[in-house]
Amino acid sequence: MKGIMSIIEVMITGMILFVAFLHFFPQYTIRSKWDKTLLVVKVRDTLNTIDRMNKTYNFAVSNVEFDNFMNRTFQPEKSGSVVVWWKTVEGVGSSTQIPYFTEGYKESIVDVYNSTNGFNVYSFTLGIGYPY
Amino acid sequence: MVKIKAQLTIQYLASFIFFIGIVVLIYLSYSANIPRFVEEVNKENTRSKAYQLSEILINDPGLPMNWNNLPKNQIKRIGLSDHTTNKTNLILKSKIDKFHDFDCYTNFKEVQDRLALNRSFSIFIFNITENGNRDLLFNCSSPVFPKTVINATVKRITALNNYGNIELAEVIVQM
Repeated sequence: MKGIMSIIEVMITGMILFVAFLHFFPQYTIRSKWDKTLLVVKVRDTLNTIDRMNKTYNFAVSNVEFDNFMNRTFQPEKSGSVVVWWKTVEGVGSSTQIPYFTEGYKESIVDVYNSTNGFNVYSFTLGIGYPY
Repeated sequence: MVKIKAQLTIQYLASFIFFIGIVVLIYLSYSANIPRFVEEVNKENTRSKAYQLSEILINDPGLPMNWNNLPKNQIKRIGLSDHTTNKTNLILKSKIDKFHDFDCYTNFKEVQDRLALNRSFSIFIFNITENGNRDLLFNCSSPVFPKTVINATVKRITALNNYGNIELAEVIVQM
């Protein structure tokens, strides 16, 4: 009986040790946020590039021009990645339909254009996401 | 005759082995994650270096800023940003042309020094044509690329000032 008791004691001690170790030294969980970060960079780069090319207004008013540009830039076989995109415009032009995506990011730019009524402000929002 | 009591009973031995077994199990399960963790840290480091290089190339004008008009020995840092406009995501074609003066294959160390990097990398700059094709404008690859499992690629879209014409370009950095 004495021997059995010591075995039980050791088992209890072992279990306590096991739980204590797991508590104080948890398993490493590795989470990388690079996919999300690179998507954010992609959206900002594209929006800045559109602005540098002086195409913000053209893309705000023309869905065809916008789609042509995005197709040219992100066609899968040439760019090596598959993404979906959309635009939301306020103040001028029209928005495109927001596609289904698993993870997406959008960024806006505010610009002015000159019309017969004077200067008008509009906002152009570009969204890019990984397809559903 | 004196009888000596046994100091090491079979129960004690079984308990001791059981205890050591549990300690070894905990150690193994704990230490099995360490190589994976170290590898992931190295990957993070490589990715951040690749991003850093892409950022230097696209959004830094270099030192001196007008290095594209200077002889090679006066160039301290390479950056392709258009210093005349001081805007992000706008690189100069004349700086890419000057970058060709550095022969990456024969003197890669020169390029490494001017980008403050001590590891192997590849830089590709493409002009994106109207139909989406990528025309190679510049390529600088390390002559010796270590074959490791760690590989980071950063692709950046940017505007290209091609001697007055603003075009579309892509900068790819690999490590």
